[in-house]
Amino acid sequence: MAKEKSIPFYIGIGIVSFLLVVMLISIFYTPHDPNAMDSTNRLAAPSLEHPFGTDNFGRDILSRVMEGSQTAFIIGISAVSIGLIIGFILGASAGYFGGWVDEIISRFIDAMLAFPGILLAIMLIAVFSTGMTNTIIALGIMSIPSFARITRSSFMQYKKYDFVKASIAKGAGSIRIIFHHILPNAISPTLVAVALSFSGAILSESGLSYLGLGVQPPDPSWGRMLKEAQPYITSAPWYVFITGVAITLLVLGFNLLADGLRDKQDKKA
Amino acid sequence: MTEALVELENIHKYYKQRRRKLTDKNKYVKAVHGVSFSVKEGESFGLVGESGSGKSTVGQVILQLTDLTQGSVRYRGKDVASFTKRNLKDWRKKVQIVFQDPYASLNPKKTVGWILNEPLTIHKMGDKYYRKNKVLQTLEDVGLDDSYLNRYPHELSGGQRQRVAIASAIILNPEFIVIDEGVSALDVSVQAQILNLLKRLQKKYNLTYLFISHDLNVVQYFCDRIAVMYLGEIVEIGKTEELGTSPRHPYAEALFSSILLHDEEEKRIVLEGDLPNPADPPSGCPFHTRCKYAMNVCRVTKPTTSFFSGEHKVSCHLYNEKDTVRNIT
Repeated sequence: MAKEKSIPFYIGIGIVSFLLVVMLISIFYTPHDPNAMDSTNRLAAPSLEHPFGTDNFGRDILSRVMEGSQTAFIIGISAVSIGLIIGFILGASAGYFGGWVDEIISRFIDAMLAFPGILLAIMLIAVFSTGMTNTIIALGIMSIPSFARITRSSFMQYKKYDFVKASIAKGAGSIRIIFHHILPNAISPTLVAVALSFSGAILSESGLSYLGLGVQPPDPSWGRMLKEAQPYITSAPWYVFITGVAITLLVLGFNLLADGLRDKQDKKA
Repeated sequence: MTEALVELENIHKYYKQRRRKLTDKNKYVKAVHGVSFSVKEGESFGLVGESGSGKSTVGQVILQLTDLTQGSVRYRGKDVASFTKRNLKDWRKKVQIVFQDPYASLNPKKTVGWILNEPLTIHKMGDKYYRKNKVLQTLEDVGLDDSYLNRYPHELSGGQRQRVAIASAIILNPEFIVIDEGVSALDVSVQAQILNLLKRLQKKYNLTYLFISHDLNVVQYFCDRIAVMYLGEIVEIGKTEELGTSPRHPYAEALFSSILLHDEEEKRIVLEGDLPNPADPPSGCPFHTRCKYAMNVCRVTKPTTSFFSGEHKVSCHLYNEKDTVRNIT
């Protein structure tokens, strides 16, 4: 089969890998200590010393944005993993076994979908208090329904395929059917959902942090930086701008990646 | 050639239909409604009928791919439903199925080698070398070579895929294979190749086939005996020669008239109307809504089976009375 070139896919890959590299660098090196305050140099305009300027405490914005990318990736990866694992198990059982198992799980998922996601997260955080771990758990739970639904539908679809029936006729058990026959075929639609949930989780985290419910100081978070930058939008516009661009880039990158993956899948089908 | 390998007795399979309203009564689609026949060892038994007649369901019932509503399937005299889990797994080695659509019957994410290895792995047969040899030998049996081992199904043509599907069915040395529209999706020239391949394999391994098809030409060419299904019931069953030359049931007559195009004297009988809804089958004889000989009795009572020479059986009121309404030629 000819390899189809999908432009959004490559742009997405480019943006995401660029931010990934930035994140990896920030683990070992940032131009300044992201938490070092310099009261003589508050809200400084971009310069050679501080390429993106400094914030209201005189901290280097470039370093903080770099450090913030770690938070973004940790939250994205952990929240998506939680949602993926639980959602996959729920969706796979519902789709594979059908009947009353499906009925119970599907109604449970419907109930989760009935809550606005962010409200659910705020509720969870209100109960379990703020912090990185609780934010991750809340965002993970938020993404369960979409994974569960996608997995359920692809399991239901592939369960009916002749190759699955042929394999049952050859004596294959449920475990073999699930892991060898259905799972490899269900991966590509799930990948799209992973990419979309990733950007969704980062966006929600920024939203929560903006409201002061997400990641707490001193961990840098793009959402909270945006909140801190808000009062200075006229006096130090670069602060808002840089932080906003960082969030946008990451979300855009993952969305393009998801679009590209979907295109590739559609072409195959 | 005389021993019955697979016997079906009064098979019923109803599918529950989704209720439209909460207050609706449960409705059932009667896919298979009281089918009995037996397949003898070494023969090719053809099951024909239009789509929706329940012939594929019969195949899946035999393989225990779907549960029965009523009736029993016996394999060498033993009721398959009574098998323990372990016996069932052993029995699965002996009974295989080849599906119609070669694009859907092979896992698109696995190589041909993996697909052929799978049945051997499931039944833990032999060691690595035995398996490898067995796979190569089976590939050769179906006319492919070892260059196919690392290919994916999407790299193969329809005919090649069907060969792989057949290979994966015969690799466990089965006795009985259900071929569910096995050649219908293929080009005519490829059809002939696959049919010849199946015949060759039958001779080599002493296979018994249940050949499900809507293509009468293929069935007549391939099968020793034929059963004609209509709306979940068998209306006529008999040897290919008898059925092919003198079909008795009006439906079978219409079916076979459609392929006798060379014979100018035979007139093609065109059936009017469609297959009735299997969720709401007609009373009496299922065929009376489209039958040109339909009598009053057909609308009320179900015909019983009449026997003709040997094993030729027909379910039709035309033959129930001693003095038949119509002259049988």
